[in-house]
Amino acid sequence: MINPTTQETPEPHPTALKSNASVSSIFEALLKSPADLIETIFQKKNQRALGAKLALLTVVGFSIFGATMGSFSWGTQLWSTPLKSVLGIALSAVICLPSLYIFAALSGTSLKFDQLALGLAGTLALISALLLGFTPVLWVFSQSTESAPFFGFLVILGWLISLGFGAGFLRKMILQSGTSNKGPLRIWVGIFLFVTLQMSTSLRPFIGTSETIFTKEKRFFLEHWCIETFSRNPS
Amino acid sequence: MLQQLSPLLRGASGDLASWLHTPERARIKLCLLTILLGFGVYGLTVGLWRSPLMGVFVSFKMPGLIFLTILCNGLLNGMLGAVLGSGLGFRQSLAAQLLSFSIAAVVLASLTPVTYFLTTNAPSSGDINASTTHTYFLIGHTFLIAFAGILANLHLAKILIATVPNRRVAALTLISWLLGNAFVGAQLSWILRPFYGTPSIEVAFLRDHPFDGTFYEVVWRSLEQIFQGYQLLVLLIAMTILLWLHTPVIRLFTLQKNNQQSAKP
Repeated sequence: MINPTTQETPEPHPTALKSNASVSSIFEALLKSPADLIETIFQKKNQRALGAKLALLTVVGFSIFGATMGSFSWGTQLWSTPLKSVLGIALSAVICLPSLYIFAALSGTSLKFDQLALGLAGTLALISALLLGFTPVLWVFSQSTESAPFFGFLVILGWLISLGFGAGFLRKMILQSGTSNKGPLRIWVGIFLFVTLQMSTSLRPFIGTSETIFTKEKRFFLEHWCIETFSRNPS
Repeated sequence: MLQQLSPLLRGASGDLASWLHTPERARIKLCLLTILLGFGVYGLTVGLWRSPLMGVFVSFKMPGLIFLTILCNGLLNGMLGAVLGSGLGFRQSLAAQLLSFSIAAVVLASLTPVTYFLTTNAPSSGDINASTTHTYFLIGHTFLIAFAGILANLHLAKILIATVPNRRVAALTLISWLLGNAFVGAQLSWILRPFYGTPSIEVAFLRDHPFDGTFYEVVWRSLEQIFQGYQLLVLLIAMTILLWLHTPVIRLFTLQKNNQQSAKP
């Protein structure tokens, strides 16, 4: 007799999305049935259109998230932060894409470069979707607090959670390609996180004001956090 | 080039064994080119922080260090492989080591955009806090190189398991090769210094007296100065950490053992 408590529902076989799938159906697939989206990437059909739609979702999501960060200081930050958010994530993706290909190969998958690029686009789109979910919460705090370190902490927390879920998309893609070795991907996610955090320091300010849109002084992100936290809160 | 290397990066036993059983000249050339380009471009980003000239120097010295290590140890490793009963010829043992260094080269090359980005975003070598940045770089690059090295060793272990009939012999061959390469490689890196370029010392291809002292003496003296009396303990802890980092390699051999035992009727 089968114990009903231990019986698991078999996972449905993933089916690729239609070739003319709309942005909203891709958005839904990202959240509800990523396996179907991964299957679409594997089938190598209409990759450009899929890539463009994923990029659109990412740009929209990061722009709104950036505007929320910018609303902490208003002024020029309201338009410069969304632009810098999109630029920052695009640069981070370009910097980390070669290592993603190598680390994916090390995990034993035979995924091609363009498939992984789409996988990364899917990851970014999922991250942007999750960041959109955090937007109302962050907006409330952006209007309630004047402490940039505290607001920065909340933004980073939201970023970490979103990245954690976004990386899950890549993990599923690697597993669906037929390998079980997740070690190299975990390390790559660490590298990607590191690059994005440094990027947020290089393109600063995202939170707070500055005389110029970009700051020329070079700093490591940990050093920057320490300086900003302790210079504002001497106690 | 990457297309030919990607099956090796995946580390499937069949691909690795076939590569080693027929070490064609074209394959050896591919490995040499990969090491030259991979370590070269990574070396460029290592030295670039100190100065562009230093970057150019290191881009030559890093692949040079690998080639010199292989050159110094190639004969010894080939002989050790034969004496231990691995069944690998001199050319095959050389191909195996070239292949493992190629894996490290590809991994480091793939990280080059990241290290270049960090170099361009770090405070310059003329900054007041340059020594702190230099320390960050030293630790960061050491970590990345160690990581690439461990991945390369993991592949070398897979190659040996796939080609050497006896697991114990494969493990012994791997240990002897790694110890030899690490011992000689460390000293060669000392001779070829500087790599990271200390901000207070002038940029140069080699130090004035490159053969003065050994890597081991300097490390021991530094440990003595920093830890005053506890240097042996610190060294033991460092060795333990190094061994722990090789857990995937050790596990590979243990797994093979268990598989072999479970396959027996």
